[in-house]
Amino acid sequence: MLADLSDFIAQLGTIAGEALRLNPDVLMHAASSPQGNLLILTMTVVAGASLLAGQSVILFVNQVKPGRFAFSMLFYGIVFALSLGLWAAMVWLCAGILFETNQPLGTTLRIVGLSSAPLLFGFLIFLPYFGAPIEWVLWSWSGLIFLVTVQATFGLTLGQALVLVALGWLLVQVATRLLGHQLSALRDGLWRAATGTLFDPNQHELIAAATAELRAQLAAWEAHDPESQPA
Amino acid sequence: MSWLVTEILRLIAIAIVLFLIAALLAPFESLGWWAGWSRAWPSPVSLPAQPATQPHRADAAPSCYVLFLSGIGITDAAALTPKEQAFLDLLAARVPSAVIVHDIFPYSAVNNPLTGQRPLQRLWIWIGQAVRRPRTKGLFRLVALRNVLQVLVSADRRYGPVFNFGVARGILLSLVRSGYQPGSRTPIILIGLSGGGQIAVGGGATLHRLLDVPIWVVSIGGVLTSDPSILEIEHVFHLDGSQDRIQHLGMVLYPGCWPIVRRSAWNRALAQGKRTVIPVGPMTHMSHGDYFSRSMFLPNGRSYVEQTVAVIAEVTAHVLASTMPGQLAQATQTEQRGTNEGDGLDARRSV
Repeated sequence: MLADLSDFIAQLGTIAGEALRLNPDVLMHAASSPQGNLLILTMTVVAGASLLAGQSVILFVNQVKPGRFAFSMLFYGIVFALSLGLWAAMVWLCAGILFETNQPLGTTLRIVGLSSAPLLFGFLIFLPYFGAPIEWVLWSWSGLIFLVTVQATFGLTLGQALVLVALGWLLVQVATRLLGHQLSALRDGLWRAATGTLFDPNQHELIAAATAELRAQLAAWEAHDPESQPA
Repeated sequence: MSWLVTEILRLIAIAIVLFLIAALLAPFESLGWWAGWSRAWPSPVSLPAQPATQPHRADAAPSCYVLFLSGIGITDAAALTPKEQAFLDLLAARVPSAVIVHDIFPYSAVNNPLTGQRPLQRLWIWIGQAVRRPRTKGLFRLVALRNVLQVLVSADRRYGPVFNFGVARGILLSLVRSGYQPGSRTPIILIGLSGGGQIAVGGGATLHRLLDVPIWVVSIGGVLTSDPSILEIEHVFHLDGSQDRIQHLGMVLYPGCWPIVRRSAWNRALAQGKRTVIPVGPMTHMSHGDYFSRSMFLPNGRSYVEQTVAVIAEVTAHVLASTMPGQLAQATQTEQRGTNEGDGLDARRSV
């Protein structure tokens, strides 16, 4: 079993490496092969977990405890894979309607999964100062992999591939807006289940609340200390 | 020859990996403190039930509180260098009405020095002693690297709010221990040396929100960044040594400090006139000929540290004049003006 696991990890490294090298032929072959489903899915989940590790300030700010931390990252990896699946579905729809491509949905799912390879380095986003430019590089690299693979697999031009990416993104945004309330409730519920805390992305509000609490305690000091009254 | 190149590349790769590990670990102390991961650290929103204060001086209430944040070479606020101690002694003599505080380790959100309770405590204690020996003084770079990473944490939009909140809380407790009365509106001046400049700005902004009093920052060759906290500082007086190149690092490394980024917090602060640059002489950033040098002298006969103290005394008088009733402020200025030989504020330029 250990041999199978190490073999699987080696294959994962190979497919991630090939995706990162932006080799169109390799990417097209990987996207067209259902045998790679488990590998690509695993890579996507790990990429999602790594991405959350890089952005884990939100876990700390919401005071998620260590025991829940690792679970939250795995949970987010699964949610990330599902969100990529939604995007893949939108892209597949657009490709079929606009450009009359004949690729199965599974191929599009694998393309989107392959494009998540750079996000395996998502944990580097955690770096102070360097994190923001690294995040930009990783997402740009991911976008490039997607474009190259879509072009090679669907037989599209660069312009058509760009249109497909933009439309897929737009449809996801529209769906998010239309279902905003329901998605927020789902997100909050999933967050609470994974982290055991309430979801609050606004760090500044949390800091402001803590500041207000300390100010209240300072006021209590002033009330108890007669020498604290201004001259 | 190729093996040499290979070995050099291998060493570079190892150094990069070690740096990445250190940088990835840098935000953990402040974030872990906020998240309550260790019982050894106090809760972010807790204060002692009653402040432990020193008794008031019998003569008069302090005119201001001056808190010193040392540079990136420090391992413990209790282990200032002789030059830093001499600077503080001179400053205390020059501004006797001020309370001078220097017990904050600025490169920790929980005011935990490198030689305090932490996993690598013994290593840092050893390094703190080793840097005083000629053969191992180069180990200072490890201390500097560790502390520089905390400066990056302070300036980072994601981590800075938490880190600076912790620093402000530590400064608050330190001020109260020194007799500061919350609600008294006694002026507070934070002096930041080198990397301490950014910490002074970041922590000062949160301190301002906690105490609702203006916070003034004196940056001694401070490496400042595009941290939005600067907009909440009353004013930054930046002492500029003409031979100090390191002080400009923030201006280069942070795009928000570039003039082309007009809407950045830094450039808005400059537009509001929140920074005054005071040329103080041909001081270097650190070591020989720095702002605290006792062996280098200006044409006016002052040593570099005397000049630095004179300028800060002038700044203090300016702060008091702007915050105190007229007569009392004038009396204080008379006390604090020295020989009046071209103290730096005469040569200042507002930017």
